[in-house]
Amino acid sequence: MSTTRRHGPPFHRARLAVAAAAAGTLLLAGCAAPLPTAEPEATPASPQPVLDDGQETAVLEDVGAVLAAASEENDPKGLKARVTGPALTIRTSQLEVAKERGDADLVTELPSEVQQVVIPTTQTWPRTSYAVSVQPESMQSPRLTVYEQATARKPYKLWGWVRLFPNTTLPSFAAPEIGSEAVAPDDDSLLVSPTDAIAQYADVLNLGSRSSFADTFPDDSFRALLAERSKLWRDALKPADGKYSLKFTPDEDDAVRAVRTADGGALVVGTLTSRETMTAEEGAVVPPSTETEKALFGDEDASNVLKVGYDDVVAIYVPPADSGEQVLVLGTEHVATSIANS
Amino acid sequence: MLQRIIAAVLVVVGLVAAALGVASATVWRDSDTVAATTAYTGDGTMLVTDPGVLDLVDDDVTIRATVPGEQQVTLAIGRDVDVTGWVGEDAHGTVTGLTDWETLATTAVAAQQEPAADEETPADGESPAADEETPAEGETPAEEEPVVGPDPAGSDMWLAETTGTGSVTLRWSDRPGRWQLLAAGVGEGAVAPTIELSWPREVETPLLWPGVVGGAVLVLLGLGIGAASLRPKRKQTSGRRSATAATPVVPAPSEPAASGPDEGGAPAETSTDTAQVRLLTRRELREREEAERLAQQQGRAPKPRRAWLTGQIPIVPRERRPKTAAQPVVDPTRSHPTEQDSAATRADAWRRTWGFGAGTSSAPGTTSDETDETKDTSR
Repeated sequence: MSTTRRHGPPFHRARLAVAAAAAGTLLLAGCAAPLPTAEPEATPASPQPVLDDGQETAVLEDVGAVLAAASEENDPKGLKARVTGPALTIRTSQLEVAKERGDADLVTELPSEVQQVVIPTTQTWPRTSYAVSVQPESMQSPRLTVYEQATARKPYKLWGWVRLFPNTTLPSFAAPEIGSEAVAPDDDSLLVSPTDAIAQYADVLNLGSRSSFADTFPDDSFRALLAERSKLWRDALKPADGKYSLKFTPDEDDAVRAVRTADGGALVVGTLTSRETMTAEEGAVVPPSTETEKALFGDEDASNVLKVGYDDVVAIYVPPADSGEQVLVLGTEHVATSIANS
Repeated sequence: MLQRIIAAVLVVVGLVAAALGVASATVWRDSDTVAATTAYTGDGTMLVTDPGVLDLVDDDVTIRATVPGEQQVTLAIGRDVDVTGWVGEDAHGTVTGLTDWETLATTAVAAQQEPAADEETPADGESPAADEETPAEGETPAEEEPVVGPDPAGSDMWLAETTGTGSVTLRWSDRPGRWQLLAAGVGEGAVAPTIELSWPREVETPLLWPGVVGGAVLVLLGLGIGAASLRPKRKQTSGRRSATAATPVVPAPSEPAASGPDEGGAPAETSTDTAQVRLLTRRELREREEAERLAQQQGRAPKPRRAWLTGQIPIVPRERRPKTAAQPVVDPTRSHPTEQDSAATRADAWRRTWGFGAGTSSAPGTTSDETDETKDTSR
């Protein structure tokens, strides 16, 4: 007992020293908390939609504001900020016509309020989003609008629009929160590739039932409209030994935008130009017939030849390759943008 | 003696530990905010944070970007692909994390296309003004050409953005996804801005309670050892002769001795200790006999007497007396008949009045038996 007692204190001291050292270390460790390192979330397995609801709304509002400002002044100058492609061509022409004729109804009404949006998941550029507007105040059919962001540093711009045919049922798309995949122009998972769909529809428009693709495209109201106009002109020109022709040509490059639908098909929006030619016998006069044509024609003297150039946008639903569904034209826009008397 | 030293050391260490624990949660407590700044001096007019940097410390971050002079600066936050896409191939700096709590780590990313390769085209979409100047000067235009910082402001892709002159601030709360910050010096002669990211920090004080509790334990331990060491000290003088005697001896006579030297308040007691013990023992015996007699005579109010007999009252320190004394004081007046009869009562009352009762009659009261034993064992 006495021996342990003698040895005891050193042990105590040693223990105390250890305890003090441990406490000191703990204190130091507590003062120097470890630096955090960046721990980002993993890249999502599937590409995410590139715009959220608020952003898409902002884009639509911005585009709408630019369109409204341009319409108010009938001045297309400001359009470039938010309008591009065939939409810019058509709108510019429409505004000039409206200014000439003093008639704002010659400008296609494009509501910025939408009932559906299609957001792409394209992680690179260009990116294309789509929207279906509510019914315009003019009680015409809703518009399908196409917006494109060409490069990362550019804003989304209105690239094109179509007037949907009355009673058209649009295909269903993935929800905006999921996003829709862009479809390449030469995509081969479809009944017809997007590029071919536009080309074939142009052929059908040109040749009607004689087109080899006539079976692919059921009749639609655009073709009915063109047939009606064609008949009118043919009837009018007949006494003057005249001829009427209308030829559609798909735009050479960058003419097609396509996005995947929920069923694996695609919504294809393509641009075409068309040229309407009316000729009558020598000495006859073929005047412009519509307000737009008159505005474009201006003060020129009418001759026996009238050539009207149109810019067209068509929207087509193309089903997946083996679905047994049929291609369906959803809507078109057909706007005269140039006119000539020779 | 050694035990007392150890006790003192333990108490001191305990107090120090508790103090350190408290200090760790007060004066040494880390700041509630972490503010880290970039020191980027590389090429380019833009700084980009890697995904995960904005929420490095906390979900809520306040971003402050400053540029020299009256230059324009823009802050924008977007998804990683959007920010990366916007920056494109331009030279820029990337913020990768913290090098320490005050500094953000940056790395320079060189332009993928040498701007000098074709002077006409670099960023021509964004800076037509710069292009006009270059052809006129001709010589080494790539060097002289003023840097024109492209402005990311207004892009449809940003979820948050702000633009200003000199310095701007932007708040951001993390949300699911991979987010990057783009900070750009804008306009001619722009330089990459300096970014400061500040987060609120939840400061933990892990040492507070362990320090306080551990310290308290040490103090108590020290006090315990100290108290114990004082008894053995007395025992050592008497008990060193035989170690076995230690245990039984401990409680009784050492107590007053222990308090004696430490407090120095009752040296008189100590000095008279032994003598008094014996004297009082006898007196106590006498009292007990008397009390027993009284108890036999009057079985009515044994309690107060019993209290005296067991010596409880005297044990109570003088300051506290009113509390416990209440009983004896009240009872006698109520059930007084006893007090007139008993000499012991009177004696006790006298003792109490003069303050003798506590020290003198108590210690013997409790210890009388043991004292005898002690004597026996020590013999």
